[in-house]
Amino acid sequence: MSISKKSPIIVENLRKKQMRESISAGKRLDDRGLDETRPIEIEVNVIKKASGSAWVKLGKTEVVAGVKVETGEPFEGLENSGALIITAEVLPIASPHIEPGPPDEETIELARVVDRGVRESEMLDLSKLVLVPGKIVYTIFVDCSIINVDGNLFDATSYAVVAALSSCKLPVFEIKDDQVVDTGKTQEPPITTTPVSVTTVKIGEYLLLDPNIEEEACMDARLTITTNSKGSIVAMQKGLKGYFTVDEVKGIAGKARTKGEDIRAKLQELIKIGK
Amino acid sequence: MQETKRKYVIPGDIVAEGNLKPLVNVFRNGNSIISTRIGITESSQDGAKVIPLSGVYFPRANDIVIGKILDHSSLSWSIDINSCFLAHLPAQDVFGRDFSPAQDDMGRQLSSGDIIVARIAIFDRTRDPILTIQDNDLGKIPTGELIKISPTRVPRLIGKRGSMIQTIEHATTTRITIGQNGIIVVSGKDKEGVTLAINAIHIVEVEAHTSNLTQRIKQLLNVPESEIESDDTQPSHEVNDTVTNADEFNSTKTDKEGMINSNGSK
Repeated sequence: MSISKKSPIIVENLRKKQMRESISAGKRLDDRGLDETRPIEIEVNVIKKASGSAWVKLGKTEVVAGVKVETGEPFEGLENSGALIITAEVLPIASPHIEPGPPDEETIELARVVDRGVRESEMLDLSKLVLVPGKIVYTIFVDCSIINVDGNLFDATSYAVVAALSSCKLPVFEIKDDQVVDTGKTQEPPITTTPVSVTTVKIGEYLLLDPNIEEEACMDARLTITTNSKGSIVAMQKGLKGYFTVDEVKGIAGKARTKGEDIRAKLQELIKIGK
Repeated sequence: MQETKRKYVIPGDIVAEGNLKPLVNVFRNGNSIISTRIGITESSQDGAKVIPLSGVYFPRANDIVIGKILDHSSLSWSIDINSCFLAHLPAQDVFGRDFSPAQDDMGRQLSSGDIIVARIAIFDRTRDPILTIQDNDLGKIPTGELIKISPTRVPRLIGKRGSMIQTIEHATTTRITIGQNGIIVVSGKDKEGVTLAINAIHIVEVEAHTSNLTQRIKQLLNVPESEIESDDTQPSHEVNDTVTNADEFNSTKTDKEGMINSNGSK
């Protein structure tokens, strides 16, 4: 296991005690209820040179995602579908605990979990993004920059990717004389569903939705569940050493569906306004 | 002190011109005195200075600060004092001169996440500050609610000779320990009192630059009319409060034992 470049966030013992007392009374230190998420703000098309982009604020966590479309060879074994590559980077300006350099394991996990949610929900119908089967396909890069860290990067980054992809305009490429030509026209992306990621953490015996950075520093376990527009679970990721009981997982899955539905409606509304 | 017109400045703005002494957060350039911070100017016959409106805590020797233990080496603890500098507390300060890294367990005295109130013993800008807890009222804080405010608001929270903080403590029956670095611990038996004190502190933080603040805080805390003095009806007095110099701070601190002895050591 590689060593994280992140310096650990140490929460004061007094603050931890305050947090435990507060949570046991059903209220968090930032006055939220245990299953209350922070307000979401989305601005789309913030980067003019990208095919699509979104700036998402989840409380004080801020993420910018940009979409870049090119053509290239398909992945091995997926000859008849376009390529989707999602990356994430936590910038050193985002937090005093982040150092410059190659991504640490937490950032790699972040990119993979976000990628999994979008990929497994089949948000983009990649089969429609093929120019020459087995040879030339659309390659869609979604690069995410985390510009402020205040916990729950998984959900914020996921919302940014979904917003950027939903609001993007794909360039129309054509094959002429075995050459790829950019026609200068644009098309709507083949969106099939809106995946929504909901992260729950466990502190002591309590389950909290959408943790902030202080809560993340105190959590025992974390579970991220992504659902699609039908409410079906499409991806999950469990983190840390703590455990969840079967009933807890069922409860979290239920919350991921119901809360996910609210967030999905909000995301779709905000994306529509931004467009 | 003869007052002159105040104005808001940003770094690079001219604070005053003429043969005035540059005091704090300013520098002289020819005949002008230039600001180095965002803040309010204050010029008098003593000199010109800028009272910052925002900014991080910059350590000064003899400041009382509240710090968080991050880690320890074999000879000292490293402590987060909410500043760009990491402070150090030498093990000898706690164990005495005959400290032995082999025999004494530093982790048992102070461990990661503990909160201490300490004095900055040495700081000269070139090296990290060295703390000491060798004094009355200093040491580990075992209980209380922790809050953070901007370090620039600390003088306003203390008030003239501790007037503001005494008002809050008295009205809410709490003990409030204030670090010059903007970290505050509020302790008290009555939970409602603690919550009220925290609310009052947040109001002071947000409205530090406005007039009649002490009066409004007293009204919030239901202090009887007769005790409401309008000691800060003029905004200029508000600013005056924030220019308390280091000596005045320390006298305020030591005069008010209740402020620091919430750790029970007293």
